[in-house]
Order: sequence, then structure tokens, then C-alpha cells
Amino acid sequence: MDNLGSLCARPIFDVDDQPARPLLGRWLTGEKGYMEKPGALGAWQDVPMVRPGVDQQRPGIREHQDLLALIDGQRSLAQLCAQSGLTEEDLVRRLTSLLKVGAIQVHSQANGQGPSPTPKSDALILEQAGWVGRIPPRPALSAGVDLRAHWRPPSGALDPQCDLPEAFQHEVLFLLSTLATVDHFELFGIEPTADRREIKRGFFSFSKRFHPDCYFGKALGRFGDLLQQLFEYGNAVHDALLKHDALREAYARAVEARNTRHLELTGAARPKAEPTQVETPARRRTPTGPITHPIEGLRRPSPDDPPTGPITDRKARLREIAAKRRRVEAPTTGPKAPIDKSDLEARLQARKQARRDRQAGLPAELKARLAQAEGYYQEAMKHIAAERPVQGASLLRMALSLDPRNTAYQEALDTVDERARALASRRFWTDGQRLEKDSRYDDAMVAYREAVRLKADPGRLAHLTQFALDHMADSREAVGLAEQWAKLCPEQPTALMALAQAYESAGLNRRAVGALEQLLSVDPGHKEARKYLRGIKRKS
Amino acid sequence: MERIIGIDLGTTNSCVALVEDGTPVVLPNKGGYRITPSVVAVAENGRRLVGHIAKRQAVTNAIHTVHGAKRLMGRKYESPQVKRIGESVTYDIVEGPHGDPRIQLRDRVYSVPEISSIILQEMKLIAEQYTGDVIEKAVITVPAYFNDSQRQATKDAGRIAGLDVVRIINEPTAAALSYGYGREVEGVLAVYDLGGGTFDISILQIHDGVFEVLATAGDTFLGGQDFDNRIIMDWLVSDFQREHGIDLRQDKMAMQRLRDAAEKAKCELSTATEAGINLPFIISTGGRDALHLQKTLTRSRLEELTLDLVERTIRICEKAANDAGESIDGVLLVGGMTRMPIIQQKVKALFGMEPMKGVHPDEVVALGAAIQGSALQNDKRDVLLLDVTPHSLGIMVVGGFFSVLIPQNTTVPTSKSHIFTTVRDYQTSVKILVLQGESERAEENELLGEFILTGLRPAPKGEVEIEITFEINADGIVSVSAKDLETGQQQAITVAATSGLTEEEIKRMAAENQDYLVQARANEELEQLRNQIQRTLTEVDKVFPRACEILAGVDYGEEAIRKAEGVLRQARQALTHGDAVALESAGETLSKTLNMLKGVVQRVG
Repeated sequence: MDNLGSLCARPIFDVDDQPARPLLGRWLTGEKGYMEKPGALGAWQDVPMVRPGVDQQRPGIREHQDLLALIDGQRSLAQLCAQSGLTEEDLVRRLTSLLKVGAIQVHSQANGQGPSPTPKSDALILEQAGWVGRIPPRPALSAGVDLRAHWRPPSGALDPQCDLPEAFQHEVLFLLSTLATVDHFELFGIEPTADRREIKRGFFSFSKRFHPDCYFGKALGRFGDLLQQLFEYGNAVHDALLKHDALREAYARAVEARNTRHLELTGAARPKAEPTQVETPARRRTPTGPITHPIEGLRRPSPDDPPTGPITDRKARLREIAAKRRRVEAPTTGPKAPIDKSDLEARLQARKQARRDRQAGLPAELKARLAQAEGYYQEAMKHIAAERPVQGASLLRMALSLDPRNTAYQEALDTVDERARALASRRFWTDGQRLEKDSRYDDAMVAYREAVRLKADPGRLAHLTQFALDHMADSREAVGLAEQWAKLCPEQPTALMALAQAYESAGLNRRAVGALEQLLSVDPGHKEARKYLRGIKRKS
Repeated sequence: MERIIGIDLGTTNSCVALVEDGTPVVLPNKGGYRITPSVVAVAENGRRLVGHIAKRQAVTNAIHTVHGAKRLMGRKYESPQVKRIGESVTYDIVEGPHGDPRIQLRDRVYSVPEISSIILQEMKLIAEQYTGDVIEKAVITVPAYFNDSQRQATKDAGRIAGLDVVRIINEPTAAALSYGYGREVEGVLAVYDLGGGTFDISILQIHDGVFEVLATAGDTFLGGQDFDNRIIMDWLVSDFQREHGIDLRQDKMAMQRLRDAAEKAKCELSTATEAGINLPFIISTGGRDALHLQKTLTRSRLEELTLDLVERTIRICEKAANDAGESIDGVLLVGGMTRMPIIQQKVKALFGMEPMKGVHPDEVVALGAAIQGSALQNDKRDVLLLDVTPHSLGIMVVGGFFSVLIPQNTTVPTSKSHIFTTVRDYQTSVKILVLQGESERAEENELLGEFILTGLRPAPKGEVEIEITFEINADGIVSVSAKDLETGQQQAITVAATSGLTEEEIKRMAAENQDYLVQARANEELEQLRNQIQRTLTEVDKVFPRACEILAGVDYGEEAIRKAEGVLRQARQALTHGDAVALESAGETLSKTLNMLKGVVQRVG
């Protein structure tokens, strides 16, 4: 699960033994005369130097972060060219500077012999090799977004001097002790599919619960510090999730894969799996809800999770897993009762029996679920054949919720969904046209908007943008539509022209100029645009 | 429950507010004004004057009247900003023992936090009079772009004034808080705050009572006073010099009059299109001749004079909007300067929308501070502020570079750590310089503090690993620690003592301030006693002749008159040179005598 590691708030890249090292070292120690005389702040030898790793904030990296985000694993120059939209020349220049500071390495071919040994000219190497890869992250000292390199989970004791309710103290301690296994989305109580907006919401409700300011003036004891640590962690998670969409998506994929696998392993042990729960294994109660027990609802750490901590020794890992099991099964607090031999024997037997039951039960339950899914699918197909795509789609969704990885269902859903949307869209569109004829423009706009939301094609957007420009008092409407249109077909002069008009009517002259300049870069001979541009520039 | 007041300690005006039964209210001062000028003066008799009284006497007492002290807060005497302030103000700035600027008023030198504490003291007094209760806790606002030492200086000022400053919050954030409090506000809000001395722009996301600052930027040396200076220096003074060949800058009293007139004209031009500046006898040319200054300032001329200042704010706004990376749903204007029409136009053009009305630009910040104060105390948790650090924090690394650990616009509380290593072979100690700022060159940033980590294992360079951790807690206090990962050796500092005042100095000043207050209160009481006796004496004088007539014809009458005369004499003596005890006893006997005399007159009719 390399992706999980790469979303550290503070990725440390280890570039020891990499060809970029000598260059980096020179740059760091200032051999080229970066610092001839001691600065006003003190002799330069006395101050520390950056660990020869890569600080994201460093000049040379900061400006290329978007590019760096695209390189996970190995990427060929051609791929990068297509993804980043840069020209090849520009790409090589930027990659060279990344190479110089040691953020990436060069491979001679995909999955080849690794980094090429002798540095000649960086640009030359790049062009010859054609493949770059990110320097793999050094294993983090504690998993996920870590706060301090040697941070340790707090001990589980409650603080009697603390004003906070005991259940809340439990919750804080539990969260802190499971930071290694709770993924970023679970922490905020959101789905891995969450968009920026939902992440913000999740972070806000998390903050309302754990920000130290919410407990200002209360005697917090050591929980003051713990709350602050928890909030700081959440804060770093929030930053990490929102910094790069590409990284977040990779992380979300990894989390979902892990959760699905986890579900397969523990699904049978659950009393009964509701379809919604199957869909969203990571769901837990909203943080503002009533506190029942800290452990309830949170995904238990699974022994099959890959080691996310610094544990490399196999024995140590096993010990850790055993400890985790004990934590889950034993009551969270209270002194240990003296062990009764016969009791132990009985428990051992019970556990063995449970394991046998689970193994026997798993396929049966799975089979039942799959059969049910298949039933839904057949039903759906009947509806689709009878031209009832909406009903078909909803049945397919039910089937998918039971058997999420069945590609046949997914494909069927995709096509039927498309058709259902197109159908609905067409209905809205004709509605809109009728209303427009009756001069009920506001109502028409509502229908049109829905139609476009369901299915946007350039022709409709063109019509609608003109409609909004002509009949809508709020010019933001037209701006939104024109932007959508221009995004769909960024090369089409009429779209860009309409965009410029919309911007101008909204008073956003600078953006209008931008749109026109883009238009002229596509079609330099567009006379009307040139004239229009002059007009706007003169006015402003 | 103890109440927490909110104080907007402004460059030109200050304001205090309190949340009462869930509603934030601005507290009026003794004169009934809702805002108090941030002016402090020391009168000839050594009395401290604050607010409107101080502002009114500024012309006659120019060199002992301080205005805009906030611009000096947390700065170094040697800094170019202090030099520039020194040129344009009427009071004397001298160098303090820690390289901080201090202000000479009469026979005493005041530190800048002390001057601010006098204003804070006044605000505290206003709140105490309003509530009839002792107020000890306050939330004070500062410009968002204030750095750590400026914030620390503000906190010190609060301590000197005898206030427990529970939180320092940013002015634009406070404004947004006040705007969003009790309303269903959702979305992204830009707060454009142009006050008397500073400019700030903050962009916040508001959702369900959580106010998250996305980005903040500003200039702590750009405000209404700079606009005034343009009118004075680039227009009034230079024109006057051209016409009469006299440099008005030499005359402090004339400058003070110019300052008042320029400020007034600027304010008028927010509504009118032209304003007259009429200052007769602005300067005497020896003998009986005097020159007058009479000019008319038009709005377009003012806009021309100050265009680059407005443009500067717009450029800063663009940067902040860029940093925030969210589309903006609303714009809020804060600070008196935003009444200027050109500013409203420019802001409207920049964000493509009409700025929101419905908040009072002078009061909204204090209200927000009060809301934060009450939000911290109540259990409902309906308001939560997630503020950011406005400047990047980091350390100096080899080559004189600035290595950022906590970048600007990071939500606090936060902590970040990074691993560093040594540069020389067998190096056993390493120096950590804690810096704040945005420049990549270390020396261009503000130095917050420094310490040395010793006892490193002698090893070839690059082998020893040192982990540096920066932490900003919810109170905004920065602490830095360095740890040798091998030996566990650790060194830490809390960045605090950088405001130019040491702990002892603050304690001493707080004590002195307390002494002054006691002294002032005693004087006031004495004054009241004197007034009382004076009043009684006039009353006695009215009835005494008639009482004498009556008493003259009765037994023991002569004796009574003699005794009464004795009492009157004693009272008059006490009035001219008596202490509190003498005055009190004289007042008592005097009122008894008065009652006796009145009784005599009444009985006879």
C-alpha cells in the first residue's frame, strides 16, 4: 500500500545513494559560492542544514508540485506530456530542475534496471531514458500523517481531574491510539468518494468536536494536550486531502481496496450486512451524534492490514497483532482479573468453534448474496428491454450494492444510466422549449438547467448560453453555462466568443479578455474577436 | 460567570463590546460616543488624558500627545518604518534599552505597550462602568498580518492594563464572526479591512458556525494615516512651500492642525465631491504678520494623490484570493477607510460583486471580539474559529537560506517537524535561529529567537540527525524544540520575550500603572470633597446673615455665631491646603452647622 504512505503531510524522501545526491549536496553546502561571507545572523557553519531529503517547500520543488503529484510510480515522458498538458520542451526543463533537487529519479525503461548510474547532462538523460519515477517515500516513522517522528499513542488511563465526560475521554484516547489504522476519511466520518466540499464539511464537524477552543475554560488535565494533538492531526489530514486532487484520488482508491478486502474477511462475522453497509464499510456515526462506546462503529484494526508502523521485524509484528486482538476482545479498561485455567480452555474452544463456523458460513452467505444480485440483474434486464431505463438502473444499483465488483453489472449500469439520463434530459429540454415559447423564461431556465445537468452537449449549451444572455437578469447564469460550454469544447470559437460575452455582461472584463485571447490563440484570424477585444480593452 | 469583553484596539479609534444575553453590544464611553480615539496625552499637571479629551487638546499640546502608537507596536527602533513614523509625528521617539522605540512625554519615557495599555485601561473602565462589575478578561484584536512580536506587544499592553488577555484574534476574522453570528451564513467570504494604520484581507469559509480562514494577507503599514500623509505632505505642505517658501514641517503645532484638517477633509469627501480646508494663522512670519492656508480639495484630486495606495491593497487582495483557491461568494468591507468611494468601486470591480452592507465598519471588529470571548465561555459551541498563521515560520539553514517548517496560511493549532543534519565534521553544537517571514533569504525575515543545541556526538558531517519541531498552540504562542535523535538531548524555547520588554519590566509597569490609577482615583475623590465643601459653603453664605439676625436675640446666640464662624474658617482653610482627612472632617462639621442654621431660619420662618 505504497499510496497510503505517499500522502503524508510531510513526505520525507530519502535520496541517499541516488545520483542526484552530489548535485543536491553542492547546492546545499553552497560550494558554488552561495554564501561567501557569514550572514548577519551568524556564522553559517553553526546553523543546521536540511537533511538531504526533499522539503516540499524548498525553492525548486514548490513551483513544480503539481507536476510531482502526477508522478506516482513510473511515468513515461509521453504520458506526462499528455497528462500535464505541457510542451515536451517545457516538461523536460521542469523535470530537470526536479531531478536536480533530488525529487525524482530517472529510469532507463519501465520496470527496468532502476536509476541510471552516471549523471551526464540531466536533460540528456531524461530524453534518452524517457521514464521518470518518484523517489519512493522513506517509511514513515508513524503511519499516515504524522505529527512528530517519535510520537507515541497515549496510555489508556482516564483523567479523573478532567471535566470532560468519560465517554468523550474514551473516544479521544481511542482515536489517538488507532491513528495508524483509521484512514483519513474515517477520521472525518466521510466516504472515500467524498469531494472537496464534503471533506470540508467533515473537517468542520471534526473540529467542532475536537478543537481545544470548544473546551476553553474547562479543567482538561492532560487531555488539553491530547485534544490539541488530535486536532493537529486532523488539521494535517485536512491539508493532505485537499492539497492535490490526484494524490487524494490515489489514496481513496487504496483505502477503498483495503476496505473491500477487509469486508470480505470480516463480512461473515457481522450479524447481518445491510446493503447500505456493504456499500459503505467505512461509515461510522457522525461525530456530533450521541456517544455510545468509543469502539462501536469504527472499523476494527484488522490483522491483515499491512504493517503501517515502523515494524519490520516479523515477530514484533505478530506480537503487535496479538496485542490488537486482545485490545478488541478484552474490555477496554479495568484491572486484569486473575486467569482461570478452565475458563481459558473454554474460551479457546469457543474461539476455535467460532473460526470453524465462520469458515463454513462464509461461502454460503456469499453465495446467497450473489444469487440475489443476479436476480436483481435479470429483473433489470427485463425492464431495459421494455424501454424502462430508469427502473432498470435502480435495480442494477441494488445488484451492484450486493456484488460491488461485478464488472458486468457495472457496464450495464453505465450504459443504461446513460440512456436514462438522456431520456430524462430530452424530456426536460422539450419542456423548456415549450415554456420558452410561452415566454415563461424563468421556468424555462429551470427545465433547461436540469436538462443540461443530466446531459450536456455543445449544441444545447450553445442554445442555452444565448438564451441566458438574452433573457436572464442575473448574468452569472450565462457565465456558468458559457464556462461549461467552453470547457466541453475549448477549441470552438463560438463557445469562447459566447464566454467572453457572458463575462463582459457580468462585468468581469479581465476574464473576458482572457477568453478572447484564448480564442485568438486557437484561431488567430478571427476578426470579430479581435475587434471585440479591442473594444473591451478600450473600455477598461 | 466572569465576563470577557472584546476590544478593538485600533490605530486611530478603539471600541469595546460585550455580549449580553446572546446579543453583542458596543459599550458607549462617558461622553456617549461608541468609539474612542486612540489618543493619549500627558497634560501640564502630569495627568494622563485619553480619548476625546486628549484629541481635543492635541493642537495646544502637540508634542505631548500620542496618536497612532499602534504603528510602533513590536517594531525595532532602527527599522525604516519607525524612521518614517518619526518624520511625520509630533511627539518624540527615543531609543529604548532593548532597541525598541519609546516615547518621551513630559518628564517620563513610555514604552509603546504602555501607551496602548492606557487606551486599554480606558476601554476596561468603560466596560466596568457599563456593567458595574470588575472586568478582568478580554479578547483583543490585532491586524491579521501582525507578526509574532507585534502580537506579543499587544498582549503585554493588556497585561500592563491589568487585563487577562484570553485570546488575540485577527481583525478581519472578528469582523466575519460578527457578520456571520446569528445568521445562516454559508459560503466563502472575503473581508477587506482598511483601517487607520493597517490593511488586511482575509478569506474565510463559513459553515454551520465554523469560521475557517483560508488565506490572509495584508500590509501593517498601509492605512488611513498614509492617506492623510499624502494630503499633507504631497499637497498642502509642498504647495505652501512653493507659494510662500516656508516649510510647515518645522512647526509641530501647524502640523497637528494640518493633520486634523486633512483627516476631516478626507472624511467629508466620502460623501461630498469637494471639501474646504481653511486654517487661518497657520504660521507666523515674525512680527504681527501671519499666513493663512485656504484650499479646496476635490474628490478626484484626493483619488489622484492616493491611487497607488488603493492599487497596493488591490494587489494584495489578488494574492490572497489566489491563495484561498475558492470562489468568493461575498465581500465585507471593514474599517473607516472603506467609506471612500474609489475603494468601494475597486473592490467591487475586483471581486465582481457589490460589497455587503449591513455592518458598521467601525464597530464590527469589537463586536466580533466580544462574540469570540463569549463563544469561548459558553457550552453551546455554536461558534468556532479556525484561524491561520499569517507568516511562514522556520529556521535558518546553511547558505543563509530560510527553511520553512510551518508555511503561511496554516490552520492553528499546528505542529510540524523536520529532520536536519550537521554541516561540518565533528561538529558538536548547532545554532537554531527561529525566523518568521516570506523571504527565502534568512536575514530578510524577522528573527523571533535563537538557541543552541549542544552535546552532539562528534561525527562526520551529515550523520547526526536533529529533529526540529515547531508548535503553535491555540493561543498562538510559538514554541520550538530541537532534539538530537541519537542522544535524546533536547533544547526548547517558547518564543515570547521579543516584544522589547522583559518580564520584570512588564511587571514593574503593571505595578506603576496600578499606582497611577490609585493616585488618580485618590485625586478624584479629593476633588469631589472640595466640590462638596464649596457647595455647602455657598449655601451657608446664603442663610448665614439671616441666621445671625435671629441668633443675635437669643440666649447663647453669640456663642453659636462664634462657633459657626470658627467652623467656616476651618472649612475655608481645609479647602485651600488640606489633605483628605482634614477635608473630610471639615465637610462633616460644616454640613452639621448648615443643618443647624437652616433649622434656626426655618423655625422662625
